[in-house]
Amino acid sequence: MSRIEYEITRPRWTRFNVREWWEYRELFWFLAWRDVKVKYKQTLLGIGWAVLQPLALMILFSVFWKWVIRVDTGVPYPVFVYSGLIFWGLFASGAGNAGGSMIDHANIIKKVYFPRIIIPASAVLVSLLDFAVTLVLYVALIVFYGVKIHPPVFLGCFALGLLMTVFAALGCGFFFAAANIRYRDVRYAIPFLLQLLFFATPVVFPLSVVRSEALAFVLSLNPMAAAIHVARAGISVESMNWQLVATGLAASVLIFLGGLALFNRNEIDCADIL
Amino acid sequence: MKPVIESRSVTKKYQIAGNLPAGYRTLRESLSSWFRPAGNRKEFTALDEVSFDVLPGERWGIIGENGAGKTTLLKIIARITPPTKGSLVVRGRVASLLEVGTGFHPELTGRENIFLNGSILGLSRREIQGKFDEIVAFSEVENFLDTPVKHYSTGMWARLAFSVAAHLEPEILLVDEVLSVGDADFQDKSLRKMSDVSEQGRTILFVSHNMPAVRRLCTRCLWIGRGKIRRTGTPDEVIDAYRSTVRDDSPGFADLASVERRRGTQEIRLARIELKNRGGETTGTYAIGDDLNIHLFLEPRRPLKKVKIIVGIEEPGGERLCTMYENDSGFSLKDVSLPVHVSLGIGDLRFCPGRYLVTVLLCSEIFNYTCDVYDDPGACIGFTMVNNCVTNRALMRQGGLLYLTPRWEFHGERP
Repeated sequence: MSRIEYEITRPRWTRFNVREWWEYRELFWFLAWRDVKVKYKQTLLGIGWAVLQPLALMILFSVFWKWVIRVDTGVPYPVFVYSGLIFWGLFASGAGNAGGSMIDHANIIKKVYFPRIIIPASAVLVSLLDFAVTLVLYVALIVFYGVKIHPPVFLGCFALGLLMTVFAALGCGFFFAAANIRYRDVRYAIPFLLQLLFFATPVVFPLSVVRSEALAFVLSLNPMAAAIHVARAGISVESMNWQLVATGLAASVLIFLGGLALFNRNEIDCADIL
Repeated sequence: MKPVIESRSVTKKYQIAGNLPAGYRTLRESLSSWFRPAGNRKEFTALDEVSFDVLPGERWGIIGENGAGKTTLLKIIARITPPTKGSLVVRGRVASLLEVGTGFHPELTGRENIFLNGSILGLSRREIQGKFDEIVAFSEVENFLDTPVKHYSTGMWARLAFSVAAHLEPEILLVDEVLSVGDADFQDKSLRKMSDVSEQGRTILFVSHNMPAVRRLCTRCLWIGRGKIRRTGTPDEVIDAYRSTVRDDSPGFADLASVERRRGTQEIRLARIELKNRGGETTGTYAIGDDLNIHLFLEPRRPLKKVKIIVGIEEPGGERLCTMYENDSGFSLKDVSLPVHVSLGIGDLRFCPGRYLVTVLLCSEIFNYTCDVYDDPGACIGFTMVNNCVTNRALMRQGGLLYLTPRWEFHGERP
């Protein structure tokens, strides 16, 4: 006789069954692995697509920057913009994929039980794997342009920026996914929202171009502004804005927890609604 | 022995907004509903205070009409949807044969899909690796393991999917026959798997309309009607009780013109069906020995050269008593361009007391075992056979569905 025993009742959304999430970690990996496999099956460039996108944007923005606007970024502009683009790419694709993931997996959700949080979380993991591939070019650019880095500082800043980005992507992803279960409008709103947010994030321009205090404060509430700022502190001479980092970190953790709570609340009935 | 499933007052309610289940709506609809009185929202009780205990090794048949809540109950036990109220204690791993092929991805190879599907169904990597050879052998797709399943035939796909599900070895197996529609081969495999599983002392919950299968396979039976438990007991007693309540309220005719969702191209449709007795009266009640005349009113949407008409009689358990083709009686319907009225008469009915259903299928000429289905409204009308005292013994359905009065003769003594 099995030792498995559990009670089925209407779950309370405040209950976070972390132990169960851990038990289902294999499925979490499997779903991400499947998505990566499927994504690049029958493609010529395969995983190269992950690099191609930020590379193309980097070239585009570099040309644009050279001819139109010139602001001192401290490091060669291609390295500067590429570092911003890959972090932004991780956030945007992570949050966007997670947002649509519940609908994409509706047929599994309606037939099998598992902690639903795995689905948006594994969508973010897929973006993280793409991100890892783009790092190859990042390192190559740093070497090519001879950017002076101090490895411990570089890695520390990079890790902190990555952590904030992942938290923000998960939080926004949970939020989008939860809203998407109930309202299909969200699916159309997500790309639009992300596009808006892109312009409110110092991806292609340095923070120093923002002169207005009020605007700087609003920007600091955007966790991606802080995440990209931190990650760049490892390569540029731009000094670390600790206040921005603190608010950004707090904002990303808050978004993560808020998204998680909202998701937990809405996933209960998702099999009936999807 | 501790029950493997203890259900305590399990209740499931759905909110219905118009024709849509609650939740599936756009933001605009949701916003506008805030300004509507709350009383406008309808609630539908799918399960109402359902309590029962299932002991280890028992095989339960769950019966009831469509929409009675049988599938909802399985979904709650499988934890796919939560109960609105009440609780269930489950002891053991649950798997269901309605999950066959869940998560299969056409772009992935057979090997990859075995791992993915197994993992979705709750097997660990190590367990899948341990059973991998067995699964592959059972599925008979060894030579195509590294081919994407999109290149598989439907049969190969189904075999692979089924063999993963068959190797789950759950303590509790849920089978919903209603959901595994169509494929007779698959139904057969499910049933065989069920008897294998039951021989290993595992517990089975089997939702079915197939009463003979429930009688054959199950040790207990649960009858759900409109979300409530109507009766539990041995399959024989529960099925008999269920059958006795399926009353005839059919007036002997049915208008089908407004029935929208039905299979077929609808190039011609059955608009109305009438059942008439020997005296030409439209009725839904017949006695043994009566005549039954089935009148069909067909409406073509475009001129058709030939229409085949296939009429069947079934008992509510789904068992077919007979299938009648128009050409068996030398009849044919050709060059139809205007609405037509066709009838078939069966003399001297010999069906035992109880309820029966008439099915109709309109199709094109059958060629190479295939045809275009024009209209398939399914079991579109029922009739009831009553005992008119042709015999003084009680006619039980267990004694067979036909009441025959053959000629008996005595041929003398043989020393």
